Amino acid sequence: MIKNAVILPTGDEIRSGIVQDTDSSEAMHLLIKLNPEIEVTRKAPINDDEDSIKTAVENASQYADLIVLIGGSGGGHRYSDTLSKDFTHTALEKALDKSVNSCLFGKNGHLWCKLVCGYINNTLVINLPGPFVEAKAAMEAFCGSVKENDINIINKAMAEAVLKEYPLGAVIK
Amino acid sequence: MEENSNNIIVYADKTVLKVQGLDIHGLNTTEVERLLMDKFKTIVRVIGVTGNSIDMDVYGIDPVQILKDEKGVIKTIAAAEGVSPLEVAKLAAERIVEVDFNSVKERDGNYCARERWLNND
Repeated sequence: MIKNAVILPTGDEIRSGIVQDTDSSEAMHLLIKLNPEIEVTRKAPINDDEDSIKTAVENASQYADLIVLIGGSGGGHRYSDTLSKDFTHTALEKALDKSVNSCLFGKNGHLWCKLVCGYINNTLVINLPGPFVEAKAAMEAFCGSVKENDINIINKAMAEAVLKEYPLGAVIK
Repeated sequence: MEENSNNIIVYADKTVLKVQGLDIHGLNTTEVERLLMDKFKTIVRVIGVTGNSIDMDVYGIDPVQILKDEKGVIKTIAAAEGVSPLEVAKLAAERIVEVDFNSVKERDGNYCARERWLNND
């Protein structure tokens, strides 16, 4: 049972207030629904910077059972200069001791979303995509699968949930 | 680090819509998506926001169909909380082009396939 969760929103647009952070409150709502006795902390948004994200994860792992990162899950700046800098998944690859991931690519070759699930210091770590409906779907899938206590099962459930948010006609090949 | 990876390719048609010339602060992206989904009758997803622009994915609709009602689209977006159009507000829309993912060579590092593709050209 998760007793202490930390939510780490990422993104300059969230940090500066250009965009409202609606994902964090939804993730918090779902975690409280999962365990009414849970303590959930939403930390200040982190800059789109790999080292900052990695440090925040390492710090939170000292006391949290679960760390939920939000945003920065796609190809972002690697694909277009005008898109945000997406560093969450690369930061997690450096920070985590053990992990699995699922990458959702568009047919244009763009990495639309990379979901990572793993451990650092025995703390479970997941990330959510930035778009609200995808974040909500991934978080609901996490809450539905976390009891399995298997990062492969959790990650697969989250990826399938995000995939379902794409329109009918989207096919896995 | 020990790591396992699954790759999924999503074969969905979408148009990338960029709206520039906006004044944005405190934007509710869900509201923008809802307003445009009502207008276009299809799925819209906000994928990037700066202080003066919004990038969106619009599924299953042709760019021409979006661009022919530029003023209407901007007016619709302006109805959302946290966004005001400036005089110079304008749209750009482009349908994504399919690439042969299998022909994209792997490279060291965390690059998206499109970047690998471009760098291999």
